[in-house]
Amino acid sequence: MRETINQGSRSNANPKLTEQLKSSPAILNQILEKYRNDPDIDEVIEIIRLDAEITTRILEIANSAAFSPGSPVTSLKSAVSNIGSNEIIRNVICLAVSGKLDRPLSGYGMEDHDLWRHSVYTAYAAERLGQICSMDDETVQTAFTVGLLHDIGKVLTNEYLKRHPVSPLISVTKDGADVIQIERNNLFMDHAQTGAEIIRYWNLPEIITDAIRYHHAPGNTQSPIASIVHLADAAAHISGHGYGFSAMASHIDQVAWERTGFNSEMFYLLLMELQIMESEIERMMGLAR
Amino acid sequence: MMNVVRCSSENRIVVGIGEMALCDEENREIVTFSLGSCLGISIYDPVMKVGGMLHVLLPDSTIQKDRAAVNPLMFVDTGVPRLFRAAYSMGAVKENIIVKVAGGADMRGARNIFNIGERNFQSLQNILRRNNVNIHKQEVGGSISRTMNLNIATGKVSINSPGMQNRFL
Ligand SMILES: [Fe+2]
Ligand SMILES: [Fe+2]
Repeated sequence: MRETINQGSRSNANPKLTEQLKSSPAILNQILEKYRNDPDIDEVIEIIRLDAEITTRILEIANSAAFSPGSPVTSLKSAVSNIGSNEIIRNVICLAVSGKLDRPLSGYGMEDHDLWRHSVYTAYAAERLGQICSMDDETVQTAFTVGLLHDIGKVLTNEYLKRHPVSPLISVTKDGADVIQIERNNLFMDHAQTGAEIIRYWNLPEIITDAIRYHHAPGNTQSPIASIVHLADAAAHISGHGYGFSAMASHIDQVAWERTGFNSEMFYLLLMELQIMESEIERMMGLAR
Repeated sequence: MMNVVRCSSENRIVVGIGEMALCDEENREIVTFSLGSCLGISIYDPVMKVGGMLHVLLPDSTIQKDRAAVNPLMFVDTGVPRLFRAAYSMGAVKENIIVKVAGGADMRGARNIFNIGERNFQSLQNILRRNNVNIHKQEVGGSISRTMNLNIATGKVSINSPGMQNRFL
């Protein structure tokens, strides 16, 4: 089954939206490259400066109550030194993609900001999970980005689902159908494949596209990122940040468990940490709007 | 006491994860949003018109003693006694209390470790049984997310989930 979002698949129900999603946020590739290579702060500033809107938002963040600056922050340089370069980079990544992800998906029963909140939660969970499993920095950073983008395919598959509601998507029983299976049966393509097809157009490193494609089937790739995001996604669902119809109707794959070396104690710890980080995550979400 | 919201100026009191709220003012309601594997536990004394709600994340505080010390309301075993005690301190009487429970959903293929919803509910049943308290109504399990609402005037508990009819417990 080799279908792309341009031909064949029913998920291409809205060509204009498809085009919009395919266009890569310019700043993302540059900032991710810096993120990977131990960022020099002046270079990070140079990249941010090219994007007027993101620059404005970063200054707003630096001046917000959370960072309670003594005096108003008016330059990117002092914003970066107040907030910290890794935090700034995470902010920039979120700001760069929020326009594509912060939308309601009525076909999935997800209301305003639900997908965005789920995406940000999964990103934070993936980052922490990578750290708890002692993955290297590059893997952890990639896991954050993949966590953020993992369900982007739903923005397109939603276009079909909202026109042709699929009743088994709502299930009170544990044996109701799996979301991925329902998508495949009805759309001939699932949101993970669709997401990978979208992200291919962004020219991001292959490892990102690969992990998005397999975030519901982490055994189909060698990369640990898909496994990390698979478990991070589960953590978001379990703690109530799944949202929509049958919010929890997807499978947890044993492979993810084995690949990451994650155990139950670590998983409980992750759930608790996410709860403790809630206000930070909510702030990130809100500011990216 | 930590994470206890008594009646505030808002008509609707929102309970987050690892939080509880108690109220005895009749024009209010207590609500908790998007329960996944978490449990929403609502208690209500119809005589004293005292109601409370707790939103717990995990079954057992012994897994993470340090965290339990920081926030006992995150766990069934340490949260539930605190919910009852807080209600008693507001005049509720054990014999009157009506317990209703929602949440405890699980993902598929979730064996043992991930079966947190089911384990949360088991842990709740254990602690209530030990204290001779019955659960009056429940809607637990499945794979849906739930929002739980307690009306302090009537004690009515309603549940809603995306795409489904609202129902009363
Ligand atoms: Fe997904
Ligand atoms: Fe997801």
